[in-house]
Amino acid sequence: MTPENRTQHNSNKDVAVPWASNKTSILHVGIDLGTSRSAIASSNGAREVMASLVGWPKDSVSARVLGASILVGDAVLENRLALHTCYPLNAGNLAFTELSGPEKDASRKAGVTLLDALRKASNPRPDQAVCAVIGAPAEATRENKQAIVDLARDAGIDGVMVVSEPFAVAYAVNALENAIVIDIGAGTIDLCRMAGSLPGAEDQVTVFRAGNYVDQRLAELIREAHPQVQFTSNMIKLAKERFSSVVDTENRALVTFPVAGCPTKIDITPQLRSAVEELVPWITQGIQSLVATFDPEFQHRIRNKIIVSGGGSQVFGLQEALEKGLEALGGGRVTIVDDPVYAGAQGALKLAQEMPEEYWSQMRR
Amino acid sequence: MTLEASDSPLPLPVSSVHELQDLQKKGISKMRVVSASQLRNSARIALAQALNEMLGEIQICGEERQLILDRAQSHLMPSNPGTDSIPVETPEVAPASKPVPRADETKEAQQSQPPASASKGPLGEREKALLVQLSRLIARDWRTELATVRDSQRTQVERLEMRIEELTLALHATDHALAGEDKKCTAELEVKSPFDHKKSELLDQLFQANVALRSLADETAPGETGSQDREGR
Repeated sequence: MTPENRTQHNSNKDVAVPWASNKTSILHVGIDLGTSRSAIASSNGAREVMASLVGWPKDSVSARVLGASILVGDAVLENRLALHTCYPLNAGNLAFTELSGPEKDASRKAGVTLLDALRKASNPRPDQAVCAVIGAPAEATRENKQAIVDLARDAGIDGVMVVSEPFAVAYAVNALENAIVIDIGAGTIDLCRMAGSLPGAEDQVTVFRAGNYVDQRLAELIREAHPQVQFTSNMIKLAKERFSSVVDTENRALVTFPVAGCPTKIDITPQLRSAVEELVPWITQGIQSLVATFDPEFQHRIRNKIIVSGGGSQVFGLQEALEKGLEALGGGRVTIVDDPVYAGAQGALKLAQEMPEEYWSQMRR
Repeated sequence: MTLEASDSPLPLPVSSVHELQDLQKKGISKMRVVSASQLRNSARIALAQALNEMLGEIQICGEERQLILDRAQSHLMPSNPGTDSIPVETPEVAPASKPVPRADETKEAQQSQPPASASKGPLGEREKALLVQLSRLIARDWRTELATVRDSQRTQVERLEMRIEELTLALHATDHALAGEDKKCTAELEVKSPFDHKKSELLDQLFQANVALRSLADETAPGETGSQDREGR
């Protein structure tokens, strides 16, 4: 066996990557590991966003139909009826850390598979060592950060650094001083105060009511208003992503959901607006707590530089709703980033690229 | 009484006949009768003078000048020089007196007046002045045009010279940075933003936080739970 053909086997048997010593160059990668969707951006220009979802065929028939023993990403959503599915992340953290027994093993394996799929999406050459900066929730526990590092290594990522997700966004948009960055995800809303240094625990707030909470509330409200309507959580999620708004507009959120098997058009505009609006006070409270504990001389500065990213930032009218919510706290200016889905991954990639090479050498040992 | 009323009227094609009384009424007390050939001769002289002045204003070489003069001469010279060479003395007449031309003069006038040239008419003082003014205007216009072109050319040349100078300087700087021994010089030339230092500090802090995380991971026994951890500081 020639050295070029040698492969490195990790604790996870599904993942085989080229032996580290064969790698002569570095591919920098930025990963936004999200509860619902994960994004990757790499220094070779590759960019991809995929559902943070892993699935295994339910039986030998589905395995034969699908032609794979394990599926990752959007393919799982498309074939979910034939699969056992697993979200490796829960409320922003790797779920296996809070599980035990076979569930823990399955969840861990799902995590490794997801990270491996993200690594493959970055298109590394066999001679390239993948050095990744991975975004984690602002208030991720030490165990979770360690778990991310372990799983990333098992997925064949050679060098790993973990960074707070809103910090990665702040780095992407060069808002490292006197700013508040808010990352609205599915599992959490992460708020981070930037004061020109690496944010500590006192600079970060995580709200555990985010996109998934809106889905849940929306389902409850629709069920109350239209008890006969049939729907799944995925249908609710798609409706939210399509119509979510906090503004009273003339555009109606009309969806076609089945009623006793018959496709029926229903208007979910008031339910949708109500569910989304419930997030606003949580965000403004988070902002207030970060502003109130900041240097009084600079409080007005961070209040006027609030940057919002993440999939949840695409809610129509959110910017105005937050600014209106901030009026009671003395006002503020809110900006939505241009590329909210990839902002975290782009910031992590920027960090990976600007990190000195000797640091990466140390992290790869 | 009109000229037409006389027995031998003056056959000038561009002439007109006026009543003496009418002319008197207009305040003309004296008039000089000039023959057509005399009038044409004086017009030629005036035209030649104007041409000379024009040629004096225009910057052309001697050969071309001579060529123009020759061509002008050919046009200005009378077709029958013999008839025009003899100046005709014309008497001054009193307004009341009846101008009676001599028979031979009438004949001369008739002979010396070619039908084609007569239609062009004579060149008067006003026309002469106009020609001179026109020639001056043309000359001035050309001078302005030339000056404008020269100025714009000079501006462009100056701009190009400045650009060349800048590029030469940049080239020197690049050479210096490349050849110079060398990292020191490069560092001096580089313009660093004030935030670059802060960024490198942040990267260092992030690296240290991850090193700590890794070392803690190595030390932490399995099953031990951890508390919330700061990333940096």
